[in-house]
Amino acid sequence: MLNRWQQRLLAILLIGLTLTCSGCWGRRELETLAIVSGIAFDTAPAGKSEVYVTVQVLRIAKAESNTKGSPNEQKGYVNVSASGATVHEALRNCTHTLSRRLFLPHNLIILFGEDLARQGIREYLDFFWREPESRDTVWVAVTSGKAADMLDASEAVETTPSADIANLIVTRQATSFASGVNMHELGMRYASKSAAPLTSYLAVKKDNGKNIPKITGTAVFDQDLKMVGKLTNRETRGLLLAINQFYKGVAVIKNPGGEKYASMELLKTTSSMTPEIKNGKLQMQVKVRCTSNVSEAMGDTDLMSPEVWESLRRREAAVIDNEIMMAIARSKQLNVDLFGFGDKVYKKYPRAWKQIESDWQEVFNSMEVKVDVNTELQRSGKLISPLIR
Amino acid sequence: MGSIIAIGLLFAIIGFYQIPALVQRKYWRELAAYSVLMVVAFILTLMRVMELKLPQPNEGVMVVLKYFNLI
Amino acid sequence: MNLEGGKISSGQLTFLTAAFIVGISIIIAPGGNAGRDTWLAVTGGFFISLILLWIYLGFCRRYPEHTLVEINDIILGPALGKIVSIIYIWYCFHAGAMEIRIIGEFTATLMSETPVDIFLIVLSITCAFAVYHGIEVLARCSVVLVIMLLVVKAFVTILLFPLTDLSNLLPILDISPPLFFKSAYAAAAYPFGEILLFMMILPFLNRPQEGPRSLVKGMSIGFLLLVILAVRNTAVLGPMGHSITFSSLSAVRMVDVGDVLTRMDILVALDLITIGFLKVTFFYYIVVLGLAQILKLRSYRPLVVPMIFITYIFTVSSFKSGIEIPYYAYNVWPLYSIPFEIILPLLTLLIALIRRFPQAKSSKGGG
Repeated sequence: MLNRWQQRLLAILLIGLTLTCSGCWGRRELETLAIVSGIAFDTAPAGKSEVYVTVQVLRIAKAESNTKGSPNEQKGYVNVSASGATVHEALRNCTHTLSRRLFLPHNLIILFGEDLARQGIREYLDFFWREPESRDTVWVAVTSGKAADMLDASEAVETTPSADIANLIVTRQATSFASGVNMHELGMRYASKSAAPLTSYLAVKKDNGKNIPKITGTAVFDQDLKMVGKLTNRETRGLLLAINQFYKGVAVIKNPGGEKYASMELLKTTSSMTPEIKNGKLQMQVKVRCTSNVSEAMGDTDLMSPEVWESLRRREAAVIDNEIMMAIARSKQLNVDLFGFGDKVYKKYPRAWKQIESDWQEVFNSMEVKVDVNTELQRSGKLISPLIR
Repeated sequence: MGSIIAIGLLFAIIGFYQIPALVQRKYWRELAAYSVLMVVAFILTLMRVMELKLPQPNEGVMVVLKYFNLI
Repeated sequence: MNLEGGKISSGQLTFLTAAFIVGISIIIAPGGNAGRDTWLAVTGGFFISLILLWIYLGFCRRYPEHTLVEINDIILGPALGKIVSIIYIWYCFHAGAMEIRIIGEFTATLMSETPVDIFLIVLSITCAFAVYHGIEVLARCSVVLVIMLLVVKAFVTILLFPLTDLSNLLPILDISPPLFFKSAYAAAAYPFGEILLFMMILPFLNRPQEGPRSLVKGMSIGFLLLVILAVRNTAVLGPMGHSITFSSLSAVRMVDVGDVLTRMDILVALDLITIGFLKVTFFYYIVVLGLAQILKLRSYRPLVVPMIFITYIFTVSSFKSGIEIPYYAYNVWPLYSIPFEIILPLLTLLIALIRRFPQAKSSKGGG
């Protein structure tokens, strides 16, 4: 047993420990934080070559109340702009107008204005990959026009436009007409051998005088992270179908035996891309397997016959095939490898890849791509055949 | 100056706790080893506090390896 | 042994070895400079280290009741044996200092405003306290902590399944053979090669003859875990993997199950601190025990406190910044450890063979 003095010393030590362990050295109290929910980069005004950033910060007290006060009080967020020579400096300079330091871990989106994206965004990304506070699951997108304006466009569904935009990107999965890319995927594509980096593309829609963000497609970058073009929604869907990132969507086909439309809901889609070398020539085989329901038949055709099912399947496969070919054509037109075919070649034929690596783009442009789509019908909903009198 | 006194005090307190136990059990060899090591520790800590340059084995290793062009 | 009254069972030794091997692989993944082929480098390293283990056991198995320091005395004679032992102790000290520094750097990355020294001091004091209580305590801790490690790692790896893309591991062995061999040897040097230090605690087993088998079992568990981690991290992180400082941490951050199970970095930190604690305590213990045996003391406890200071000063001054650590671990350490892990044990084995394994003197035997 410890003697008296030792017991007292131990008691003092324990009390001291409890007192000091109640907080830590690098603590940051909530009131001193400016919680960042969106970051937007634009080309610097007046043509200066600096980093110009706009940061969306939550205003916590105001964000909770749903009062219909004056428009100034209603916003639960505040947008702050600053500029600096580097990303980190620009972000720190935001504190000149904010009363708090920025807190990055809750950031949802990073936006780049299209002008800036066309100049190249490589320099902007290292900070986010390096900083431990920044999460790799942040969504990245390019906006038409100025990114800072996008941070003000609001549907007023969520607390802040950033949350709106983030949800837009997440719910793109319902139609798969646009791609959603986070920092991690962007990095993976950039670091990969041939795949072109992508991000979502957002535009602003005007609706009753209010600005609403709308996700319209995909922005495509080249290997230096300069934006080279956009993909429309159909091309995007073709791309996603081919690279196995398709979630759900609706394919509209012409009704067999009629002129009206029918809708097929694409449920599960898996696809694979395999390079083959046949007769010394490189060929890419894209296989898509898709399960779908008939969700709508606007015409009168009776769906109860095998020929009709076969026709539905063929038409749907044709739609998918068409979209993939559109995506491939666009990829060749933009002179980038959207699909990551190069990586597939590298993984399967590393020695052959070393020979064609430097001329990959020419090889890609002249490569033959065979698309093989196989669709399966599952159900037709509550109706077997359309209601007819 | 203050930090030197603080370090000296720290080592004195530690010694105050441990040396009587050693003496009581007549652990002379252990006491000798302990004292030598404590003196070494004391000198090193002082040098660190006064920000003198301490001998760097790592640098020695790197120098040797660079000499043989292994790095 | 007078110096150590505790006894450990072979199961505890297995777990302790496994913990030792897994160590801080979260940060410095063994074979990490092979990039995509880390898992192959680890496998290569494992098999190389089995050869090393065979060398170590070659001369240690004849003396099941003696620690490495004493074996050196017996085989090489009192003078030369002590010199070689001091060299081993220095190696252990240096390795321990590097371990402490790595753990400190990791925690300091998460809490960047706290000076690294605080973590180093707290870790050193905790480990010294554990050393005070002996090897038995350490071995018992290791069982519980390793089981916890395995559960947590399994949990996280299962959560990462949807994000795993095994095609990221292709193409296999695309790096140049010299680089691959360098990574494989780096994996063998650190952490597998430090098995040498386990020769110090083999005598404390309940049944010393089961020592080698427990060691191999523990090494295999550690090896399997390392391979699974390497495969998982490469599959999840893809081509970015080799630029990332803490690959396990980045991989685990990607977990996002229904917005509920997110931000699991804390599990990685938890694993690191517990296993790191075990490993650092082990290094400390070997240093202190070895010194006590060289100086023929009756107890190693008085040496613990000065060692805290010396280790701390050494750690803080020898690695000037966290940036050096990966460079040092991958490039310098494999070469630096050659004399300690290969040359000296080989020489000892040769001399032992030549002298036909001299017997222990009776004044030493069994005591």
